[in-house]
Amino acid sequence: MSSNLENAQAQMRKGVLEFCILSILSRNEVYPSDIIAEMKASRLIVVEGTLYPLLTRLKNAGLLQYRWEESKSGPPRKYYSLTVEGREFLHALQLTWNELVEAVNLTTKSETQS
Amino acid sequence: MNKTITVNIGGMNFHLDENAYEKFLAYLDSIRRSLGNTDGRDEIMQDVEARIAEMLAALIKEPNQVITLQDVEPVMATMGKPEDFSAGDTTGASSGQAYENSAGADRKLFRDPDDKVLGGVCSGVGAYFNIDTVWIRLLFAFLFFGLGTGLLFYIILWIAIPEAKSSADKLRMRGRPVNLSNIEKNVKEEMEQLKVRAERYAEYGRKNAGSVFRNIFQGIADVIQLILKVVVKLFAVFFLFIGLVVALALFAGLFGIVFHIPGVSFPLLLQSSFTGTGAFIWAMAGLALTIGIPFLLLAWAGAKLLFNLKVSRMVGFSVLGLWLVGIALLVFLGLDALKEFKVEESVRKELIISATSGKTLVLATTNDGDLEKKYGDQQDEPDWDLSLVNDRLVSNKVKLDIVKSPDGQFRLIELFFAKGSDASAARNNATQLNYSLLVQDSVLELSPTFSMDKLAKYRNQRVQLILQVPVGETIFISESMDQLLYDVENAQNIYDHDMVNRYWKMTPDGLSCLDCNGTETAVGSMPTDDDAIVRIDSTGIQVNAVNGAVISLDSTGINIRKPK
Repeated sequence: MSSNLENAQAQMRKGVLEFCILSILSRNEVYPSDIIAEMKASRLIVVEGTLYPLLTRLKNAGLLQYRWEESKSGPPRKYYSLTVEGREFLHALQLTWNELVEAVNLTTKSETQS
Repeated sequence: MNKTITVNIGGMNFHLDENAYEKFLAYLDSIRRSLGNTDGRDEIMQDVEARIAEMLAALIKEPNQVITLQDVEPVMATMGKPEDFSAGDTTGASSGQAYENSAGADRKLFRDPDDKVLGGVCSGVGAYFNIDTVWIRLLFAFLFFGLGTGLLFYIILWIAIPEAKSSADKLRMRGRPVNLSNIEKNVKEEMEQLKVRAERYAEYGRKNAGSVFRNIFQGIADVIQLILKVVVKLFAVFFLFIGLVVALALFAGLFGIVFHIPGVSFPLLLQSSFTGTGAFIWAMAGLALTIGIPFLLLAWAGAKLLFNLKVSRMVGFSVLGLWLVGIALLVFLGLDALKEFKVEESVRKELIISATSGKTLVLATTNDGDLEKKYGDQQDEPDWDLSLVNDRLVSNKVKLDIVKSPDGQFRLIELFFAKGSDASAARNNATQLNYSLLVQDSVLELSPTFSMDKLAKYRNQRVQLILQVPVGETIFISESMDQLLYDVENAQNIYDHDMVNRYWKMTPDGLSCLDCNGTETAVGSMPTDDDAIVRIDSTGIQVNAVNGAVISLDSTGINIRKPK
């Protein structure tokens, strides 16, 4: 039972992970640790490891771009931002999300009423 | 002190101590494995390394500071477990999750050739039950040293469990579903791991080129490994030889009984204990299986070690099954036979010996012709035995006691004992005994054996003779009576063995020796290291040495006779 629950929760989280990351990136150019900080606050991601594969995949899909910036305290950092395609993608996701929220609310409410 | 290793992480140099280095490399290894063949894996790894470098750099307070395990662990915690790296990957079919969930579903028991001490049984069992191999090994070690059964059990498992040879086997051993992409992944992982390890060791070697100690230890380790291999081979030869010889002998013996091959004989006693010939043959088959199969397995294990023979699981399990059948047969038939020994009954006969009053009664055995044979190899002869003579079963379980007669008559009481499943069966068995004796003038001839029908079953039949001698009468016990006398009480406390060849008179105190000379071994005499015999009785103390010296202490005082 509990492993099923964990699995379902993980699947749900995964679905919205991309959406949230793109939303954070849409506000300004960010460094991965900044994304982590924000996501940790909302408890969507707890470890940094999850983020790197995701960013690479989104970048390879042409939704993100990055530029190098020298760092005083370590190796050069990658600063990510949305591409034009990324913005369109995010917009589409936003619409889908709104629909989903409405649909989920409707379904779960009607269930609790009956 | 730990060695320090300088590594380049994300373009920066760090000094890691040995523990931190090992842990860190293992961590990167497992992340790479967790990512599998995700697109852009190398880029992800670079990002991860860069981030780790950044976090480590923040820890450095002074130049050349050494990073320890305590420094590395929080960094790894921040980055997350290797599984977390694929958690956000929706398209990658969440391999980490699938790995966890399908574990146990399609799992098969294999021996792990990549992680073995002997045959990889423990690591395979560990993988199957998802327990650390160390615990399984400890369990087997405990069974081996504690109860001795661990080795046999291990060998059986070794033979019964197939080795995980292919990638498909290795996947099923860990419980991942067998499909094409997973097999490919497994192979790639293995290659990758091999490459990374090789690189790591190469790097390690370069960094520690001057380490003499390491080379020495490596050399010692190699030599030990070589010796172990030779020892294993020697054991294999030994196993093969012993196992084959014993197993073959047992099965040949069984073959011999079943087909009545002349020259193959089993103790008659054992054979006639069972309810029938069939039961006996089955019991022997059970015995051969019970003892033979472990030896056969031993031989098999030896052959495997020597020639890398492969044994299928089917064969392994059928052999194991046969073994259990053997044990079951033995137990069942053994209990069946034991049932026949539940009750003991006896039949009594009395004989009054009248012709001898006034004369000395001479006790002797019949078949004096056999005497030499009987005494020839007395040492090797068991206390009692069953043999087939002139088509009759003959037993030498005959004992004689000599007691005081309650009235004025010589009397011989014969008690025939036998066992059976109930009282009437036992009594019936007892009546089947045939015992012969002969009274001639004043000579009582007693047979040292009794006989019964060839087809009679052994039911612990025995004959107890009691000779009643009136007070005042004298008897002579001839030498051959030695085999019949058992625990005969006498006034001098002389052992049965030394009672023969003597005249005895029945007194109110019991039998008394008329012509004993003090050299007889009495109850209470102590043989000493020097083969002197110390005798203590009511007359005093006497020490007889082998060289003829005698020291005695009695009513006449202390007497010392010099050696001859």
